[in-house]
Amino acid sequence: MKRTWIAVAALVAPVLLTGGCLGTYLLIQPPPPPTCGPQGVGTTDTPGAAVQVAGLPTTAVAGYRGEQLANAAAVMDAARALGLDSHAQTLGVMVAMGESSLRVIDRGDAVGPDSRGLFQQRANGAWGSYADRMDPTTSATNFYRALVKVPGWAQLEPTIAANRTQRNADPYHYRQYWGPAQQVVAALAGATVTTVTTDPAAPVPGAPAAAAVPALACQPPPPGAADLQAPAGSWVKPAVGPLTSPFGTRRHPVTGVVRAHKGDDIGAPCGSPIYAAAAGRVITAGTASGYGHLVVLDHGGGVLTRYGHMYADGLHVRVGESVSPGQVIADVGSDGLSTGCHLHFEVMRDGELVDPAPFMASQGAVLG
Amino acid sequence: MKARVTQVQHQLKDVTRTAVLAAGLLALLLGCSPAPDVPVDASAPTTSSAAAPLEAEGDFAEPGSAATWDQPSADAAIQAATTATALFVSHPDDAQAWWAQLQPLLSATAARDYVGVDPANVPARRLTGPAVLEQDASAYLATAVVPTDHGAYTVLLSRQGGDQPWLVESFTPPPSDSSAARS
Repeated sequence: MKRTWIAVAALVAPVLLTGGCLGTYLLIQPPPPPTCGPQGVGTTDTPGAAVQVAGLPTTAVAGYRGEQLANAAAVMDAARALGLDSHAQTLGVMVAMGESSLRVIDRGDAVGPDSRGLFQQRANGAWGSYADRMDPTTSATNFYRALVKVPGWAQLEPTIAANRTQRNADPYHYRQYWGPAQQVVAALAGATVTTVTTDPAAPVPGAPAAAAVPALACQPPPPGAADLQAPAGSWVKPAVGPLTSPFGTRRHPVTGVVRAHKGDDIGAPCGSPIYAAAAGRVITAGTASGYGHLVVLDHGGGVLTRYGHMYADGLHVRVGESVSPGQVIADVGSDGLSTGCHLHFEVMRDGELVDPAPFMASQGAVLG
Repeated sequence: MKARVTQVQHQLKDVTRTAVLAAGLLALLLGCSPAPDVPVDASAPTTSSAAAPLEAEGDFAEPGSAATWDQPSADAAIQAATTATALFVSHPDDAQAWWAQLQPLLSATAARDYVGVDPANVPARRLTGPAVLEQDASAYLATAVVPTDHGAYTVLLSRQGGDQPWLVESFTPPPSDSSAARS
């Protein structure tokens, strides 16, 4: 799927194993700020016990407090008990936020009047008894057991992995909860979590948060982290690197075949940012034959810019979004008909692909 | 004597060719390109002398024609939103057949993402009125508001060109609709 990343991953495997989660960026650019979730919650391991949380922030975290944070801790604990990592912990908290606002609710909804608990699991036998579905730890455990059966769940966008587990009607429903879930998991990772024991005189001290499980899947740097500060009406170069193959015809270095090349190739390193060349709307962001993944921006006035060869997880915008000049829209990749990381950049005017270099130069953004 | 010089030159050439081939092979193995692209157009901008990434042989998806807003475009967008949403909320007996019908009405990204939806979990069951189009500033995007028995769905559509069909990017339920889950 992503040969380059696999190769890079192999090179930095020792880093990953020692707890680093910036592996894919390490060799090519200064590491971005850590964006992986915190590393799990220390707990004692008495599955099924009621969870009591001490040392939590007394103020709300992302709008969640008290009982809600305790339930989040139970979800995280269930993930950890199954040997799952902080990505999974955050994913479970995200789903419980989207289903129940992290409350063990004893009622369903329009489509599932029999839905119950943190995950709104139904009474169809797939999610256990009523008591199971109303128990934070058991319901979370059953959620995770279903999640890990989803092929490639850790690499999917969290809301999609969640949808394939929950089978809910809106696959994007949980997206809005990913950020808050990251905040809650971060806050709880520093907390001390203890279980209620049968002997109150001998409380089990909470283990420190160092019971870390390395994250399997790092999230890409948040969009906007490295946006260029460009004036509203301006044009900027879409990537930093030399022009390695210009618009026009070219002879293939290996086969000698001469064929049309309808864009400019910019030799920017793997994972480096691709910037919106100007203000516009995202009209395409997905797979396209040859391009691997393609993003197309509509700038109005019949002008489109097109960006190719990114990997699926290197897209940071979605169709319908508005972008500003210099906003990071994607990461440079080598997907599709490509043998090395670069940006294939195209400009369309009134339905025709034109030479990007002179067009961009005329807008004050010289490529290369 | 001259013949001998030529022979030496030939040998040198062979050695050079072998070395170049070996270097190229090594570069290929390392994922680099073996040689910079040679621009055929001499007036083209300066290219880097560094190893250039290649685009492999093959066909790239053709872009669509320029799109502009006109009545046929708007009618087509309303029709696409209505057809797809009616199917989306139809609560079919056969979920597989439902997906086979729905998938071609979705964009590539939506087709990837909606494959996990169980149609039995869609809260709406039928359309309750005509769709209303919110014409977008971009002629490649359209938003249709489609009334259902579960409130108004917002359906985002996109097209790849004026000569391409409108496809659904997302069916967004009315606000504050909690996700109902779970097969």
